Amino acid sequence: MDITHEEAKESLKIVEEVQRRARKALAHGGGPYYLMLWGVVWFFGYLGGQFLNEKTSGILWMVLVGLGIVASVVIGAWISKQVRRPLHDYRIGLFWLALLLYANLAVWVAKPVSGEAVAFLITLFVMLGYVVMGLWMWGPLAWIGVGVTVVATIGYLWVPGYFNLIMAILGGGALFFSGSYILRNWR
Amino acid sequence: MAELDPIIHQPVRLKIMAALTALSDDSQMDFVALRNLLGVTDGNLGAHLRKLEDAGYVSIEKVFVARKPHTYISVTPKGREAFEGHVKSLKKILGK
Repeated sequence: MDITHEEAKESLKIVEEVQRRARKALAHGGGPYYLMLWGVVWFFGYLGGQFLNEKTSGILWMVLVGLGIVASVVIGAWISKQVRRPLHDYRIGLFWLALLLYANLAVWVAKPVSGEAVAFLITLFVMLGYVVMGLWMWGPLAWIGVGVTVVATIGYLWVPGYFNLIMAILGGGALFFSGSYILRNWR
Repeated sequence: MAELDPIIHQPVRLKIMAALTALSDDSQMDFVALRNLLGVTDGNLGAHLRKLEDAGYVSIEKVFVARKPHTYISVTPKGREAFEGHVKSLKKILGK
């Protein structure tokens, strides 16, 4: 079968364009959408921790996390309606569920001294999840996990008065903008 | 001369194969999602899928989800290999 140089160029252009659209539409299981969603949750949650009293901030966190879980389930259902994945992919959801249960258990046992300490402890568990996901499935998540952990540790140990603000801007921002970057540039 | 696959070369089938190979191994795409992604009609997509299925390049599974019929399509290992070979041949023509 013979084709011209131009036809070959056009065919390759079609392949690249369709693959780019497919990856963007399905976003590899919704990963970038989850990052952006939880970036927004973190931003407002930590911002509340900086400017509101402890009780109001705690309620705000519960509402935000509840909304985040509902939105994550909706994203997951939307993606899985379009693409069926092998059974092992569902283990990811179970892993996060287990991690959150262990984080809550750790908070209950350790009885952290302040709201910042609770937030720092939960941040460590969540970032451990990112690192595991990165090692397991998709490398950049591990780097995001390590980066946010470093920022959180520096904020908690050296500038505790601004820990929440740092986490809102750098932690929430890192999650949101890495998700948005991946969505625009993933090929 | 590079070997091009005449089954895959047809533009709609090329798009189908490009979309399906963008998924991870063993993943299946819903018929409606594939149709929307490619912007083709049900009949057109169905006809081209049959050709690809006859060639052993795609596998089609019809299932019921919450009592509604769904058709899921996936690329077979033979199809993935043929598509990769086709793309390689296109690149060879362009001297890439």
